[in-house]
Amino acid sequence: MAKITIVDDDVEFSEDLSKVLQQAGYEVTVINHTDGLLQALAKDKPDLMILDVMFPDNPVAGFDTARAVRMKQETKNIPIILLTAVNQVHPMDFAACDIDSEWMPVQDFAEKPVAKAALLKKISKLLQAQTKKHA
Amino acid sequence: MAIFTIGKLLDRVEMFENRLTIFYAAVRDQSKDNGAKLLIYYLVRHRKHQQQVLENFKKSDITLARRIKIRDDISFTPDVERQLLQVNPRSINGKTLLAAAMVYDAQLAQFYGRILKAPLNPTATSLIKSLIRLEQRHKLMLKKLLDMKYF
Repeated sequence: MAKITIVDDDVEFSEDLSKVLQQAGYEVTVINHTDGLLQALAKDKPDLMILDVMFPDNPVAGFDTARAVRMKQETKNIPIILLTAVNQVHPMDFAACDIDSEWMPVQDFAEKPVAKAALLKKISKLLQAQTKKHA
Repeated sequence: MAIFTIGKLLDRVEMFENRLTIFYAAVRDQSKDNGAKLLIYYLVRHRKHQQQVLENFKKSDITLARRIKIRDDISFTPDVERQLLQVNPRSINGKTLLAAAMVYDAQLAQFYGRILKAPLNPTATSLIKSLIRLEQRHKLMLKKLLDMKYF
């Protein structure tokens, strides 16, 4: 069973998403802050992470976290999906085409609210790619 | 008499954008201002958007456009050099960044506009016009952000 970590300060949203992912057969961990996140990820070693961008103390915590994850040996290979409402709060048009290794080192980008089916498809695709990579 | 090419003029912009990108990374890593941190992730995409404009043209067309010679030099000394690049990235706030970025976009559009006055071939004209449109769009987006009064 693949392990997914949801990192989002919105408790209600992350719990709802957790249920959806559990029903789809994934083992899910929810973390509602970014404090000590790298250590938690290094310990738990999820197969994939769903990461919010805006957190109360830092509007780009998700971007910063993604870069930090890539820099740490134990976490650098964890696939990340950014799942965010940042464009609704600030009209900045962040999108999948902005993904790059230096500023937005993630595998995929999705905007809230996201259709369950679309998110599950993204997850499945990334996990399959990960499996192939390690085969 | 010195002869300048479109390529050399565009390279000036690229070199300046490279310096800006280094500055943006320093702000990202050092600033404690949330507005600056957010805005920097937006502004750093400017160079990428310029590259995307170029990618819409055939490489061979760009090569030819870059070779076009113009008689008079067109200086490119954006105010952002003084407004941002000479400032400690740690002390930059979102409001300053936004104001400087808006002036920069306007000055870039003016710079391209001056290139457009030189005799160009249709591809070069189209390329420069696309770059001007990008700056105009970018400036509109920044205006939207300014109007939100977050920064």
